[in-house]
Amino acid sequence: MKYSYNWLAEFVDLRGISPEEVEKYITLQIAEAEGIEKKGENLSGIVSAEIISCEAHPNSQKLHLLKVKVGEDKILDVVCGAPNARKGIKVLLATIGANVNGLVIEKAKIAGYESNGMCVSGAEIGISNDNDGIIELKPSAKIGLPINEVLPFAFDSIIEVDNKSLTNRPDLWGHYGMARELSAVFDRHLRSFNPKDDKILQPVKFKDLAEFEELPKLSIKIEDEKNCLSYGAIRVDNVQRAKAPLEMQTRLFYCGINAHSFLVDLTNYIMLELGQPMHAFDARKIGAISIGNVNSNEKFSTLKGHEVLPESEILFIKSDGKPVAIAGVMGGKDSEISGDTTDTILEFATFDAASVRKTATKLGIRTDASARYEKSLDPELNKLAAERALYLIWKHDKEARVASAWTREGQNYEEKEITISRRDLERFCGFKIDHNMLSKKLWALGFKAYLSGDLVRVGVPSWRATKDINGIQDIYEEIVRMYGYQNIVPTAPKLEIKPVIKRKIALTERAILDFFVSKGFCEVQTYTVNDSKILKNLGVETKSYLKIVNNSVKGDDELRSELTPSLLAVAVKNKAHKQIRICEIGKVWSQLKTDGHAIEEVIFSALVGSKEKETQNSSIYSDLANSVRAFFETQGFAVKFELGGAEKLYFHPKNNAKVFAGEVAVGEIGIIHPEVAGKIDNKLGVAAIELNLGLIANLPTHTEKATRVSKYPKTTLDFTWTTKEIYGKVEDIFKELNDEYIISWRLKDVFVDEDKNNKYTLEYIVGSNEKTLAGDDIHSVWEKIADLGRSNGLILEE
Amino acid sequence: MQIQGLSGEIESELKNSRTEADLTEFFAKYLGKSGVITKATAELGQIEANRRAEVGQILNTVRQSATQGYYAKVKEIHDAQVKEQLLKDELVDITIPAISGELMRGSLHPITKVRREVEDAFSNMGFIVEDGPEVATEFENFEAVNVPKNHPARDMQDTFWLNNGDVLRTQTSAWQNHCLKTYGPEFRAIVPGRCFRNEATDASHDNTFFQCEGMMVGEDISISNLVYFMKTALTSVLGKEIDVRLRPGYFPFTEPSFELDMSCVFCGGEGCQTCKHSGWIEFCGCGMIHPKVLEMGGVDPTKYQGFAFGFGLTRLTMMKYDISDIRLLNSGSIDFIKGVK
Repeated sequence: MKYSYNWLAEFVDLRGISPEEVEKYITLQIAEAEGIEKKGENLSGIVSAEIISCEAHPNSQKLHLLKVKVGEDKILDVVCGAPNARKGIKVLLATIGANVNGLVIEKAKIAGYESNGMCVSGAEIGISNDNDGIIELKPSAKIGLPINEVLPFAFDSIIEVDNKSLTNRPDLWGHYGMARELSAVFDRHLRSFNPKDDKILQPVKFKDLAEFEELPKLSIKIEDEKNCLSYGAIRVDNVQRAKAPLEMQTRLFYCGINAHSFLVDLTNYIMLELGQPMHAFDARKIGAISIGNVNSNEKFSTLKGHEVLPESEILFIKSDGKPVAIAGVMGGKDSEISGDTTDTILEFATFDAASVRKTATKLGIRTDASARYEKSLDPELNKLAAERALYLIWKHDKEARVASAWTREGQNYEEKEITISRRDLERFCGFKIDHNMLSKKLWALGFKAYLSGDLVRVGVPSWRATKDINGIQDIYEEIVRMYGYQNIVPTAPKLEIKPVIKRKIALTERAILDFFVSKGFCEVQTYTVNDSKILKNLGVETKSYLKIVNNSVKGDDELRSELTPSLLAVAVKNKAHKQIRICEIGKVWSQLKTDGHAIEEVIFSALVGSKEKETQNSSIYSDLANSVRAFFETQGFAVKFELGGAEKLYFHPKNNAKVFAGEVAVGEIGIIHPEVAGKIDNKLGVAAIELNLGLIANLPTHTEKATRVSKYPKTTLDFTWTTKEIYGKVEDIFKELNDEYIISWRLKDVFVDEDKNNKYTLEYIVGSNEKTLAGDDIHSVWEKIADLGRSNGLILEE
Repeated sequence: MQIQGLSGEIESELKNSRTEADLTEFFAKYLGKSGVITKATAELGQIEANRRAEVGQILNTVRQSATQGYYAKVKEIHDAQVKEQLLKDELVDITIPAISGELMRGSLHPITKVRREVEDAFSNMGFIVEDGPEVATEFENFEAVNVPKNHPARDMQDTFWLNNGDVLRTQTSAWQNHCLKTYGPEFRAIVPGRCFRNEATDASHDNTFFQCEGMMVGEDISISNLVYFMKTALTSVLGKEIDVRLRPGYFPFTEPSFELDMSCVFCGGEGCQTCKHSGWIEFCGCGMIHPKVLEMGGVDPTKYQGFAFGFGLTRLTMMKYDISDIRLLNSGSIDFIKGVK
């Protein structure tokens, strides 16, 4: 919404307050201002003048040779191409050296004749889009006056406010509403609509509708009372004026609306001034008015040429049952104001916000009117708008004649009252607010405020009651806003100290990221949808249980059910690197519940890739497994791999494993299938792991007591076992062994002989907290270990 | 014999000892079996009785200091010898970085770095750090935060709808209802997490980004408390004193609603290009929680009140590290991530 500073200043006393100051305080206390556009800044050397002779150019059909009088004895020769240039009219002449919005006027020869200036059009000086001819001033205009005296309204500051920030404020969609706010912010007087209220400032002028009570009423019937809240209309005949006065046109243009005809401009002017959209029908086309639905297969043509098929959801204004306008959105072609319209029916209505919004969205027709109706307009506003419109018509066209009584059907505002407690207000704000200030500001905003002790009874004005002000907090908002948000002092609350609950999974997330980053991994983040193109190229198939159904951009729609494919896609994007170590924590959706919602899981995945020959797949894979093992140890869990147990098809069919923490399967690890890896880069070896962090975080934790450190000497025993089994099986055998003298044991060495026998050297540390072990004690431990291995088919190397 | 001059003599002789041989000689001369001090001690009996104790004490002191001085000197000479030897060792050049493998530098994603700073800042002030699901129900994402059907804020264009009727959450506010029901009525929590908007991407818009929701509810939680927490958290995360101010705003889930500006991190409020010469940067939307939102979360709005805010964690990250293109964050580019330090 664009606000003209001059227009605002017509209603509120802004003397001494600059447009910049106004803009600043709009942002701080009202809505989000987006900047100021200065109008008329680049206009100088332009004066009022009279064309005293106009002759056709001998060699041109378009050009005229003018004699232009700019002073008592100052007459200039000017060559002009405007079609409306003629003897006797008063114009604006840009003289030599003038600045016309950046264009500097110089003495020039045009088609062989000297020209000492330029008669300007509205578009040239930036006050309208009218470039069809030069500006014609009133016949009574004095000549020789500078433009700022002739057209003072051309010099203005236009303040633009973000429409989104006005969503909840239907009253601010017109200048008067904003002027009211500024009067409260700056403690300045506002011109009222009450003719008796003339002590400080002159009231705003309007025509009292009571004057026309005796005239016949119009026929208006609201069929759909839910969606048409009120409908008022009045007939005006004999409107002779074709074009709106220049000031009206300029204000509209500065606020973003082009001029059309007097009547159409007037409707727009009222809308920008008071926020009430109105429509002017050609009275010749309008009979009995009704507002409701239309059952017809006949298309309705709007005045902008849209063809609309009437549907049950669309509300229409009808004349004798036939549609003449889409309620709140746009009028119809047949009944629009045309060049020969003199008699008009002016509509001032209030429609349901949701209904207008639905219709406008559905038809894809958004207008200034629909934008306002969508904000829930004040149903009381239409009478005021009618009174103001009639005054402006009468002011600019004395021949016009009101031809009907004001006829209004529908609802009226029932006064809303909200009582607040000043103590609660203080509790809500966290600071004290002076009761005089509170009351003064509320009255300035149009509320009523009656204090009695702690309580304040607040009467809500109709223009704030439709949507914005519903409860106590809305009143608090008005008060604090006027107190000035910028004046709030930060204050800490006084509270009991309580321990902060930390979610287990959050701790696990941090721990695993920190661990892997310390191992040289780089944390990446990827989109939650599968990169279908890359995955297809790699030959990776992955399931998806959820799909985006309305993506506005053509692209990937399938939500991921596992994380590793995302990292494979990242590997593709980073294939210039010789080595990559990446990891990610992300959400996946790998199951649907019976109620249709998906189970969302937090997953960790890490991927290692190397193109260097010396790092073989096998060592990448075992390094990754060791990292995982080490991580689990820091978390207090033993990890177990079930070799070949993974289900991911993009893993190597043999070198993969299911990962267990304790007895719980928490993920999978494996070398990436060489065919997949080969498609990323044919030299690349890759391994990856995927872990379910939710499962890991919820594993039972236990705290072990500290082992006592013996002060007696310890002995080391080495056993080298020969077997075909994998180490995990061997480990399982010895894990069960308990002996009071075994302090610890570990795998010390692995060797594979020529016959592919595995040789595992286990190192035992034996000792006692009570004594130095005797040879017999040690021997008995040795025997126990040796027997256990042998009885399980292992061969002990002597 | 002259006991008086003895301690000065010992001191200067120790000082002049340079080698192990010098020290052996010193020991024999003073402390050995026939050394001066040993001898003098043995001869104490010959001194007249009234001075014996006094002389004995002096001798004792001299012996102690000679012994200490001797051992200190022994260590000094030994250390010097070892050092001389070690200086001949090969230089190990640890300025050479790891060429590959285990010690390669890893890196957290910049979002994670800032997210942790935000989490820690609020956690230190007693806020629970929550994590809501990225796929939210229509109720959670809209109804529960006072955005009923047909509300303009529910524009179809902005929401990713899923085939099961759920949505990719458009705002972390989708988890407000859960927090109220789980921790209410009196609590404080933040919910950092990913959000999604169904829109075309460019350097400053991505369809996937991080927000951080926060809320605090209690009997007396006020607007000035909101200002306090935002100011304190931002100061902590950005590592310098930050001022904040409120402006009018409009959101369906808060009443009143505010836009919160922070003093420009780049110019400190003086005015620069980033803050468009205003000294302020628009930072987040916030407000006092709408009574309907409290009610839907099972909290009695006539007794409890509180604030809520939601800011762009992604935006904060971009601001902190001066990242010019939002799309880099989800690009998976290792070079980009390692370049953010």
